[in-house]
Amino acid sequence: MDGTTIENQSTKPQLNRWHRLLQFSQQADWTLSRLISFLLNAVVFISLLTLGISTLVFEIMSIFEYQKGLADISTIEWIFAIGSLFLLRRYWSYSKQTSVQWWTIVTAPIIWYGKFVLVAMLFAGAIAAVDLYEGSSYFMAALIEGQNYDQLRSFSAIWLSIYIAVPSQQLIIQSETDSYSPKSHNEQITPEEPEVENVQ
Amino acid sequence: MFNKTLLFFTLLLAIMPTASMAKSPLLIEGCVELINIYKSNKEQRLLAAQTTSLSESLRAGYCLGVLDQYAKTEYRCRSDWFKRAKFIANYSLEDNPPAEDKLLELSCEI
Repeated sequence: MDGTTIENQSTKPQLNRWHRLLQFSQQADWTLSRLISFLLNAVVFISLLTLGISTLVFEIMSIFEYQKGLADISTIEWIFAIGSLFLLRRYWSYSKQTSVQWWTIVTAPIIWYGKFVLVAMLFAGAIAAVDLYEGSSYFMAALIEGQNYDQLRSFSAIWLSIYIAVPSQQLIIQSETDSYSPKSHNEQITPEEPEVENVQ
Repeated sequence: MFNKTLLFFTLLLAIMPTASMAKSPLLIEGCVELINIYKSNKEQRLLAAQTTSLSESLRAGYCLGVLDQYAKTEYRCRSDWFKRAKFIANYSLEDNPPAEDKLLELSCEI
């Protein structure tokens, strides 16, 4: 055995160890980034859910703001309530055709609404910042004088959230759709083609 | 299933009246409602009739009535009722607003 073979024999395990260490560190790094991503996603999800639920409760409570029962409900609020029932019925009938879990069915519209509320809060924050900078009082004026329009905006956001929260059509459970799909309709027609060819 | 849904809505409706949003004195509440209906002393806001409930319009009427009556009794109070309503409504965000008499008196000074 010459010097170079001994050297190779001693460096091989070192290289293997180095390679394993590199692999392990890469795996650890990858896992850590996915873990942080998961945690941040969970924080964003919970924040949006909390924001959505709390604002939704506030909006419903603001309908009955003076404890006067039906006398507290304006025409727009009646329209909102009836429209919401229709939209929820539609949402439920679409969602139950899919493989989406009940938890996703419940949270999807709330998450969408939370996103809308977040955007509205950013706008409000921008207006408040302008007020602070310029010494104006647009934000306070909007808060006191624009209550009815703010309610209209919230109702529109709630309707839109329920409307767009429907699951993807790709998630439709196949067994239920087979009899209605255009593909199965074509399959029923195709057997006639060979018969025509035979005649010719 | 139906009974559970019915129970849920019954509980929801039972809770609703206890969860009142209104905390300000009646005059301030009324003036807030009034300036949400009117955008000036002559012109109403868009969709005011559709966005205002019976209880809100009663409160707005109370504010307008009090302002009108106060202006009749106090000879020095001749300013625009809308401006005075707006002045009073601005106190809705304060924790300890002045008493109604004081508010009416202050509103005449604008």
